[in-house]
Parts: sequence; structure tokens; C-alpha cells
Amino acid sequence: MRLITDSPKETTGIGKKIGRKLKPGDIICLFGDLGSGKTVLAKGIAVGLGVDRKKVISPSFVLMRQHLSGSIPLYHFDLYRLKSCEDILAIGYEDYLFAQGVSVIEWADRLKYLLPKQFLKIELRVAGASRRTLEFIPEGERYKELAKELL
Amino acid sequence: MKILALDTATKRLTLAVSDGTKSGEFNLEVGRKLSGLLELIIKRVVEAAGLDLKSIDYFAVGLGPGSFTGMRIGLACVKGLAWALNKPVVGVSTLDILAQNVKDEGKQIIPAVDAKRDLIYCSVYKISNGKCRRIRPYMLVNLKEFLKIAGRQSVILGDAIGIYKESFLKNIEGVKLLEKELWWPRAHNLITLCLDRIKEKKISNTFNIKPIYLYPKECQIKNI
Repeated sequence: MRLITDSPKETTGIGKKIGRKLKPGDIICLFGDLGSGKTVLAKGIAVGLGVDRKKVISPSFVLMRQHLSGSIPLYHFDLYRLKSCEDILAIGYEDYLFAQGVSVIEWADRLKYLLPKQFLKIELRVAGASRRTLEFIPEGERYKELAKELL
Repeated sequence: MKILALDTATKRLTLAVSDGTKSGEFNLEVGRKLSGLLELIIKRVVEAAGLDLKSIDYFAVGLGPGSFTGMRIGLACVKGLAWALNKPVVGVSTLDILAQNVKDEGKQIIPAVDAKRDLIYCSVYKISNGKCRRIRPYMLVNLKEFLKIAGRQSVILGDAIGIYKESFLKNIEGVKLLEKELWWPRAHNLITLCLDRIKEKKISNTFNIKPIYLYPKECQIKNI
């Protein structure tokens, strides 16, 4: 399933729709180059969960930001600076997954062996100055259902 | 000798103080609130025992393997206290502490801790002449590897049982799975092990103590 957006606002809108459908323990993995809209989409997801838009900024530097003001806790990861899976384990990444919150992971390509068995993969691509394509690839039953709901 | 002992590498925090004659222990499943609660709990338990943190002679801490965040919270806390009070630290593997829950002489004792992602932290111990000895390294293995390690009549304990019970019963002849109450390390056993380490002069300090990090083998190849 593929969606095309023509502005960051539209991308945020899709994020919002996703955020409203999420349940505790859900994992969303975002793949895409710099500037492809991963953080914009993550922001939308956060807003959909009831988090204040302004509070959601890129966690590239701090690796993970925890947002507890929404309907469910949101763990917003950015693995850009982590090159090996030992580093990812060392930040305690796995202690957050499968817990009471929703995990949104930017630069999920870094996970390799650590990718969970079930998750919603979203691939973002630059298709023009402000045009982006978002490809949804659900892994596992829960995420096939979720992707269907989003259509 | 006054000892404060704690282990935070499993889901259940365990903490104890001893002044050489009497001791008190505190156990609680704390989950994500651990980092905020640990200092408070230490203060309460030490006060309840009628002691003063400044009078503690040794800080004992469980080194894992286990939850990376969990064991670092406990270790960082102990490092801070030991540094501020200028006291020695004694580190003991969480699996060693766990093995102390078993008294069966001569049998293979296997503490098995759930490491998530279908993996198990484990090691193998044997008691002879009343002394519990580790006879294998600390390992991070999958179920198949675990079943190869576990010999007949092994005694297994730890929260991995909660996940693999059926498979253990089916594949390990004469296996004994301990009940849930015995799945967690107990700080009073850490105090006992700490006293052994002090006798053997295996003592560390704030700067040279390290947790036991075990990585899955798929992870050990560095990506550039």
C-alpha cells in the first residue's frame, strides 16, 4: 500500500490517523533518507496519540524521547547515530518494546538482526521538492489489520 | 561488618542490609519506576534496620546478565554511593545469586533468565561438599542450545520457566522446575556471596566494577 503526500502537513495528517489507531505494544519502524519526512510523520503519530505537537522534536541526539502526556506512552527512537546492534542493545532499546507504550523508530534499518518479528514498516521516499511517497509494509497479523484500517 | 546488597538485573528488585548479626531484606517488582524508587527504598531499608548509610562497610551489587537498563540503574547507584562514601564494592553475577536458591547436592543447577527475543541467560552450577560452584561460563543462548546444555535431572530456576516450561518438561529427562517464588535473586544470598568474596579478597571499587553484558552472537560483528 502506497500513499503520496504533497506537503509536510499532509504527512503529519497521515501520522495523526495512524496515531489514533495504535494500541500499547505497537511498533512502527520508519525507513527513509535524511529529509524524507520520518520525523514529520512521527510528529503526526504523536499528535494522534494526544501529545502536544511542539513537544515532538527529533531525538537524533538523545536517541530516544519518551512522551507520557498522550493517551498511551510514546517512545520515539532515532537510531541514526547508532552503527552497531551492540550499541542499540546498550541503550536499553528492548526494555521499551512490547511494553505499555507505542514505539516509533526512525532509522530502523540500523536494527538489522534486532528488528522485531511483527511491526508496521513505513518506507518514506523523496519524490519531489515537497512530495513524498509512503509505503506501508505490515509484518504480522496485527499490522496487516492496522494497515487495512488506515486505507 | 555492615553490608548493603542489591540486584536490579531482573524484573524484581531485591535489596538487603546486614550489620553482621541481623539482616533485613526487601523484594519488589518495580518495572519502569525503578530509577526513581531505588534511592528511596535504600534509604527506607537502611533506616528501618537502624543503620546509617555512612556506616556501611561494603556495597554488594548484582552484575547481571540481565536487563541492560535494570542492571545499570543498580550499578550506577552503588557506584555513586561507594564513591561518595569511599567504600569498596563487591560485584556478583545475578546468575550466581540465583543459583543460591537451590540446595540440591550433586545435581546440575541451571539459573535461566528470560533475555527476550527467544533467548535465555544461563549458566550451570553444582553443589559439592556444601559449596556451590559454577561449571560453565555465563551464556546467552536460544532454546535449542539451552536444551543441549541441560543434562538429565537438571534443576532449573528463573523466569525463563514462565516461557519455556512445556519444552523443558518434554525435552529434559527428570528435570526439576522450581516454583515461581524461587525464580528471582535474593539479596540475603548476595550478602552471603559478598562475605565469601571479601574472604577471597575479590573486592572492586567504583571505577573498576563492570556489569556483565552478553550480546547475541548475531550482534557481535561490528557494522561500519
